[in-house]
Amino acid sequence: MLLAQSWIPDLSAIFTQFAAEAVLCLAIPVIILADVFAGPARREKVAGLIGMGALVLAFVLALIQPADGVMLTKLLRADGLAKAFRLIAIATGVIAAVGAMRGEITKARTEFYVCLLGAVVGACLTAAANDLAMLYLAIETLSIAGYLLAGFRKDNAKSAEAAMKYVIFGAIASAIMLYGMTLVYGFAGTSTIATPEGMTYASIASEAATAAMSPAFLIAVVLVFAGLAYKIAAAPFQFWCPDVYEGAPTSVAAFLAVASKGAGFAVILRFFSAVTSGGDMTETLQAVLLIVALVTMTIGNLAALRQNNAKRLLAYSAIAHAGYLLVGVAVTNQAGATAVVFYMMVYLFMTLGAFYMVGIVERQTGRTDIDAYTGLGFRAPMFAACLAICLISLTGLPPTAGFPGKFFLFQQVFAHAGEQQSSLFFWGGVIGLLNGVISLGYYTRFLKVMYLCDRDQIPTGSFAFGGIDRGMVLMLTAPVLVLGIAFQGLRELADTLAKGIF
Amino acid sequence: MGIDAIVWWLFAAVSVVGSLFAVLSPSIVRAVFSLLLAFGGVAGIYAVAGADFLAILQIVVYVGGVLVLIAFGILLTGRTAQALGEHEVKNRPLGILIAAGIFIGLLGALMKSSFKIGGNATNEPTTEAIGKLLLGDYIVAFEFASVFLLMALIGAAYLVRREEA
Amino acid sequence: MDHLLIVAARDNAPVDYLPVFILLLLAVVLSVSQLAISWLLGKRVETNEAKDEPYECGIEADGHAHTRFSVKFYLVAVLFILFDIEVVFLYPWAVHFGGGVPDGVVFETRGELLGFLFAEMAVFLTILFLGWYWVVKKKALDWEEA
Repeated sequence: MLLAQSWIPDLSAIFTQFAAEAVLCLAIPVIILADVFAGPARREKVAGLIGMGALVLAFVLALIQPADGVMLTKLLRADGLAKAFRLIAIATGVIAAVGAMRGEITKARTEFYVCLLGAVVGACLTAAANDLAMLYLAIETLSIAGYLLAGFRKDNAKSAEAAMKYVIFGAIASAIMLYGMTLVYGFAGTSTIATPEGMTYASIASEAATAAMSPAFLIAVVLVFAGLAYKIAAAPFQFWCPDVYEGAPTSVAAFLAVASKGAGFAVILRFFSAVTSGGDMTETLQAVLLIVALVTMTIGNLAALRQNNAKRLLAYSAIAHAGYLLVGVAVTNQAGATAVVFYMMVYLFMTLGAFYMVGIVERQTGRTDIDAYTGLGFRAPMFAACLAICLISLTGLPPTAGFPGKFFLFQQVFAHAGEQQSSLFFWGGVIGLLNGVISLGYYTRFLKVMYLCDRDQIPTGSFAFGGIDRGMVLMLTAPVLVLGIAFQGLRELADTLAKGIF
Repeated sequence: MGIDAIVWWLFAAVSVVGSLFAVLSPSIVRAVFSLLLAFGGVAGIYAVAGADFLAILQIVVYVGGVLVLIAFGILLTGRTAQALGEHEVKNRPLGILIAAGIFIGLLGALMKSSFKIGGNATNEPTTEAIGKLLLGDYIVAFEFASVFLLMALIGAAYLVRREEA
Repeated sequence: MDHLLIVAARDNAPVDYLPVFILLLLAVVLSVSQLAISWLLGKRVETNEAKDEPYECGIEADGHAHTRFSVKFYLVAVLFILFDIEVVFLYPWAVHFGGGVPDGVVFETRGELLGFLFAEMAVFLTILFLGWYWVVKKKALDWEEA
């Protein structure tokens, strides 16, 4: 046979392309083996060491992995999008692990790391998947790991409730998505999502571009989107989000809010780039995406106004942010994808920062309601300043990174409205900006209790904020501030990574 | 209508009746066992459609595994004796309306469209072809599935395990 | 509606399933006929509460037939499903083993191909059996303790 290559270089090339994922996959059995042989005394320590080591190694590998989009297997695509969201997922995994090890997860670290590594690798592969079957496997890995992590505090009734709700909603969403996928496969005749340059095989993208698709194809796409909307907590599939974030360990909630959502957005970008690559459905799909985006952000922001629990509030804020990010997808073009990648990277820092700090307060006071933050501006000025920066950034005000992030997103909406003469997109942009104003209402409540409380209400006693916690918070907050002013570099990076999606 | 079509409709009827029993039965244990009928009917549909591997999979995994899991899951709650109707579902008419609307909409759309897959389905055994794909093109997914199953195993064992004091 | 039935309307009928179908039919006919015959030929006796008891004498029936199960059964069921799925993967592998060349991978010799196929499944099984080993080591399957 002329093509004769031994299979060893073939597979090893794939492993090189996806070295980070390979390391994470390999670490799972290694942790389990180590747990069995380490003995009860060193068990937790060994698990933490291997788990954290694998995550850090994977992150380093992810930094240097190629993003040229060369396809060695039909299933996975090593392009910029995969690289961007792989980095996001692994970074989130590291920070969630640090947060969990600071006191939330004291027992069963082996199991925790197995689930966390599974979730991270699931998120990475979800972002890289170029085949519906691989995509479904990866999403389910992410989901099932998420269910396990959400219910990880077995002694806590809320944690169990969170896991249960997550499972039930997740199963329904997953079924809907799978049904949509089978229909898409039936219409397109292939399960490959996109044909990369230089390849000739058929894909959903090439079929959608050439064939006039029936209305049922549109329905199938919407069904797939429904499943993905659940992953990113977009309306009308956002119900689980506040309950799960409230009940789950805080670091797990942070992971779900960033890595899980990020992976969902990677798929949405990839999938919608495929189905809008021509044909007559593009405009309808854009309208669907925009309307879902607007409804999502409005629901999230309005509901957040009435929240008194910091974790629930951040959950509604995460819902609203799913709406903002969807706006960038709705324009279905290169610039929109760049804006989404840029915002996702900014979102990583500010959301993880906010969740990490909520976790610190929860650990010290055992409370997650907003009143627990009373007077922190005076008791722990550094902590309060960092939290304020993250919240201002989530609102989208300068000089924080949230401002350029939101600016790029809505710039695309108005540009699209101008190009297409679309009044829907124009008013969509206006509603989006109004949403930013609404969100000011609840983020500032934190600032109010932290800084503008009566002196006599300030609880006495010290608020410990040092060591690893201080380092982590500064590491997460500093970029929010720096990128608010010097965002050009990140924008160029986002531009490179998002190249070739649409 | 050929014999194939008759058998197809027969299995379809079995699975629909089974599903209806599962949804409407007031006893949750009976609901679980009527799922047996539904799963069996679906397996039959797969077989008639020429998807032999899927039919086997349906029997082995769903009838043999998932159903048992659901049964155990239900039986360990200890609330099986109670009728399900206790929690009055307020939104039932609305739910029925939405379900019917989705069904009719989907059916209408699917009737009007043409599938690319299906017309060229052959009657050859599928198991070997699936094995070929699984070990070739889908090798990454196949090996990843083992890691996925391992994770699920560890997680499930953790959640069920009683913590040692 | 044609395309819904397209698979059913093919001219090459799946006659391979005929034996299965006949067996199924036999099972139904046998069980129904036995019930019917005993109903037709047997004496009609009125039933009462005492007659419906499972035992004629001895322990009185107590409680509901659907008792609570220990959560341990659930773990067994979960483990069973996971290994069930593994069997599902084994089946096409076994059917395919030594058959054609998998798509996308090209080999010099047949021995290399078989080695490759064997290695694939070996990796898969090793990873899964590690889980089984772990469960056993963790004494999750021990009934006596706890």
